Amino acid sequence: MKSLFEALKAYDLPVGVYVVRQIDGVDTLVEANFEFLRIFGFDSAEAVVGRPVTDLYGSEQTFEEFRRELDRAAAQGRVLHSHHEKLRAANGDLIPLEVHVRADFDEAGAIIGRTGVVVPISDLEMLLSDIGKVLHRYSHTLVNIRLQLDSVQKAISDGDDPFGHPFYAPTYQEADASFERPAGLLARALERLLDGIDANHRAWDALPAESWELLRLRLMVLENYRTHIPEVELWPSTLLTAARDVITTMHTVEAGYLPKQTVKDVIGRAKELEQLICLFDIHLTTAQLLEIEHEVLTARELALYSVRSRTKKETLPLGEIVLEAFRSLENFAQSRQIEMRIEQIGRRARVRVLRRDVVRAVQNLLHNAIKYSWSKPTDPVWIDVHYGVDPETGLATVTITNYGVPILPEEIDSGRIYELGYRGALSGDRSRRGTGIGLYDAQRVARAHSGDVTIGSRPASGYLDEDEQPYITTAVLTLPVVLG
Amino acid sequence: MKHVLWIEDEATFDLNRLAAAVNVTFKYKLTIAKTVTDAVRHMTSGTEYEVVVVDMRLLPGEDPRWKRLQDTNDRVLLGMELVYSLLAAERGRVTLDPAERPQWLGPQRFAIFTVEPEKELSDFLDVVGIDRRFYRRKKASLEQTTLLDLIEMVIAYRAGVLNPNGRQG
Repeated sequence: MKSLFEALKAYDLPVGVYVVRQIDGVDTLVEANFEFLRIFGFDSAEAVVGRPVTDLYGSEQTFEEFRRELDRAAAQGRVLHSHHEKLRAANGDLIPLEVHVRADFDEAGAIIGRTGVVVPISDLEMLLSDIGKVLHRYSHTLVNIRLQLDSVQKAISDGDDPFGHPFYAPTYQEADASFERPAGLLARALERLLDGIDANHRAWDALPAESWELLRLRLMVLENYRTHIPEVELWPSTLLTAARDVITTMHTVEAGYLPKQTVKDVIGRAKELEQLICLFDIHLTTAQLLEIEHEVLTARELALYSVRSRTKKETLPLGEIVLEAFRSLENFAQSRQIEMRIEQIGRRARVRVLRRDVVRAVQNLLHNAIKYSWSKPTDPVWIDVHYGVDPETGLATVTITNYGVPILPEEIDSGRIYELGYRGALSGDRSRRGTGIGLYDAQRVARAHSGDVTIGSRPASGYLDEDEQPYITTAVLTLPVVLG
Repeated sequence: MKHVLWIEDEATFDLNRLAAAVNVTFKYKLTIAKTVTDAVRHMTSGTEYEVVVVDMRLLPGEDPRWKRLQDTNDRVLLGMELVYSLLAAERGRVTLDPAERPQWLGPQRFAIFTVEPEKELSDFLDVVGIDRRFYRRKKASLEQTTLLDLIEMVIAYRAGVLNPNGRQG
């Protein structure tokens, strides 16, 4: 190793090279080339060689995190690539670096140290990397929340969920149809209670006057919420609040003033309504999580892997890429009750691509197609995915067609729709969320592979002057075909 | 029933529970405006609002005056611009017609409910004359009655039943 380093020092390498060995249980820097010294600002090798490597780290904690990552990579027999870290220079400043490092083993297979390369990176790259790590943690958190919601849904519904599959997001109109009966039953139970106290003055003492007034007002809400509140989206939370107020109030009833059965009946009805609305909320929240999960994953991928690509291109069947993207979004499509149809058209295509990036590009286009489809509970909505070699252009082509939110012609013609962070003028329709990353990322990936992404959007009826109509939007991803 | 206008694009989605706490009282008729255009339309509809609660980050809606303002300035806070145009016309970047500024309008009817920190709004609050007690910051730990409490505080203040410390009595 020594002679190798001596030889390397003769070359003006553009990267810092170093070797660490465990000496008396301490990770110690034993070799560093000229560029390493220059990056860290040391005048000579003597200033740093022989020192504990922890001196170069911002804190014990960051060093331990790095060691854990390296140990994990070593256990898997791989090099730890593109580890981004701020390390301490000779003047005490923390400088952003990219580290590529491999564990070194003795003959018995025990780790004795490591050999690595450091490359300075910009603050922006470091920031992106940090954001990527945060998003990576968030993506795990989202999965965990979704699994927890799944358990809560099972516990609340006890196997009998009127809203169907856990991923399905019912419309507010569907939900209200389910709430009508339990809300009516609670109203009747409250009415009986309030009629009862009019007939029995002793019953008045069961609650303070303001509590009776609160119950009377909640009864009015239960009977009039549809006319009192114009926004259907506010009905479930209003009913839920009313039910909870009733439960809380009834739990303060003084014993002995009201028939036990009447109290039990009101609380029971209120709990039925509360449970049903909670179940609806779980469905909505699950669907929202499915929607943002892909956005977080895309942002994570962009931040973590776009700074420096570390994977190699592979030659793959186009169908394999499309199917992988398709399967990953089946749950999201199910949450919107959207049927995804997939078909190979024309000749099979093989493409030479960075798999991870191109799968994500197709996922982005599919995710948009699902998100911006109009859902109609009575009539299943479709998305068509066609792939194969286009006979006219000879390019590998994935065409995704959906039926829903329009994209304005001027947004397409000006190219604004492909810009990072741009959201279509009509994309916020019905509170659809988004970040404006998907289409930008898909086109960027396609162009990096000498392909492209283009969008078209036309009125479903064929007449441009009809307002409030769905559009048929088509996203086309093209890639060069690998011959042979 | 007193009329309340809440200008907030997330009112029926992420913030729907706050609206529910108001609706369930059956004391207020809560109208929601999701854009600046909607807000101006409601304010000129002939209804006199006892309280107007405004978010600072709003969408312009269809009115080209607000759309143009947003298109020419990515960082503009349209809620703030709306309140300037209504209460301090000389500072407003959109000039409203006299008919768009109803007679009942006044800073004592306004409350601000937004993610922007108070110190970033202090100049604005001073210029438009909105009392700092009627500012609330949106955050994850909000109580469900935050909006209701804010509305009742503005009403109590105008009715003269609010102590200087902000409590009723």
